[in-house]
Amino acid sequence: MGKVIVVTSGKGGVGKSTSTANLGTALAVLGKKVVVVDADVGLRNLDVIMGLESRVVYTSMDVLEGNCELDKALVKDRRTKDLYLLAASQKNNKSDIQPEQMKKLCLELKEAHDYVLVDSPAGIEQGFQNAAAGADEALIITTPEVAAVRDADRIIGLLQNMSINDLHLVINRLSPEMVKTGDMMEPTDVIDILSIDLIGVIPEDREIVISTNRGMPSTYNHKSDAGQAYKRIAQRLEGEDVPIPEFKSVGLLGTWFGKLFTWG
Amino acid sequence: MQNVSHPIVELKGFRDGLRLIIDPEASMEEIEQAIVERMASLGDSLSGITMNLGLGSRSLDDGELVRLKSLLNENYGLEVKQVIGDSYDEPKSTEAPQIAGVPALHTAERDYNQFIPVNEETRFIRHTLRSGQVERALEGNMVVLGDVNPGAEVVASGDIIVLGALRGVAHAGALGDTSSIIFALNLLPTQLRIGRFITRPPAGKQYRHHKPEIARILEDAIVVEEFD
Repeated sequence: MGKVIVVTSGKGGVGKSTSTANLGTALAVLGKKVVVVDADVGLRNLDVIMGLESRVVYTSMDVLEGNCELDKALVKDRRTKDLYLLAASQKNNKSDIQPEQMKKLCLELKEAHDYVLVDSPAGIEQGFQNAAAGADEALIITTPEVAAVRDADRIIGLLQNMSINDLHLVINRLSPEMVKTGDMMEPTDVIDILSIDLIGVIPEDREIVISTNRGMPSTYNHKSDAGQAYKRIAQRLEGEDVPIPEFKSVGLLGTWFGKLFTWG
Repeated sequence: MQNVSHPIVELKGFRDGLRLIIDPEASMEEIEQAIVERMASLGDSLSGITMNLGLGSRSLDDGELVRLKSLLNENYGLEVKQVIGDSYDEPKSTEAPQIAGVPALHTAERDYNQFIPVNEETRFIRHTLRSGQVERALEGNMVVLGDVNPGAEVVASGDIIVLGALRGVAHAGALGDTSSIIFALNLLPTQLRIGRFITRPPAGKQYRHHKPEIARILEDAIVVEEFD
């Protein structure tokens, strides 16, 4: 029995789908059985970022409506062993799926996979509610911006209300130069407000734009800083003690808390 | 005619408690509709609270009064204690003035080093309040054992004490008690309100103050001082 992790943020455009695609790939590269689920019904794009758009035949909607078996709807990513995509329907609306159905779907998926990563749509409405319905844990994606952190805070409150308490923070698109000049929030500022465990920091990386357009997750690119940062998050999800190079420990063992930001 | 500056019903805090002030010119139907509209945004947050009715120059017959009282009581849990207006007797002075059912503090004289809440009821929030979360304590004080994040709001009729960082909005003395204080271990609010006074931190650079601070009303303005 695997676990279901919802990837969410509240605010749009902070990198939920990119993170889902990259982490899913990284976990599969580690030898895990992974399925990434696009929960953004009506505005799907995880298939594009994964480069699997042309191979989607059935969607989660087809499964729920009984048009096909769940196994048949999973698109296999041929670049990695045991990586699958469950696409969202583009024809439907978010209100066409109910949280209960999503929960059942997630339960079924985690029977056969180690990780079920659910890519949540932006917002706090039904799309988010559906995405989080079956989740055991959550990855909160934020950028070091006041508005994104505010929305992440709101989302954390909502997740806790849903009794999802295993929360991990990913700070995306950090620009070390801007932090140095005082023009960007430091990771410690973000953690101060959100007060949940930090599981990784993704540096700003132009390669992400190229890779998402090409449908080739950066995790495959050994030269991509962001891709490598996603790999480290995957290792941490697997319980490995991998330091966050964007942080320097000040000796609080076992927690990412209180670590001072340095960038070499 | 309804005027923006003169709503048909108005909810205000007075020394003797919460008062629903009714436009003397309005018809009974208008009053009832205005009450429903006013209360809609408050939900059941006022439930169990006693209040006064302020009628001004208007006089209502017994039937109308009963209708209003039962509307307030049955739908919103509000109990009407006294009717205040030209055609009604002066409030009895023998009765202790109340703020939402709790004895109020009249004098502005208070020893702020004595950190003992004046009102009796105190509500404890034992977790961090995140954006979008609102907590109210309209029957006394509120103590938050955690942070109040930006986008979160705490409202109390008495004092507010945050044993953490206050980054959101805090409204102490929300029913009009201007002797209320706001205390936080780390006071970095979006906005502070005490009674009818509002203030916000100075614009520009975000300052980091890691000493406890206390906000209170001094000569019709909110002042913030280091607490030691």
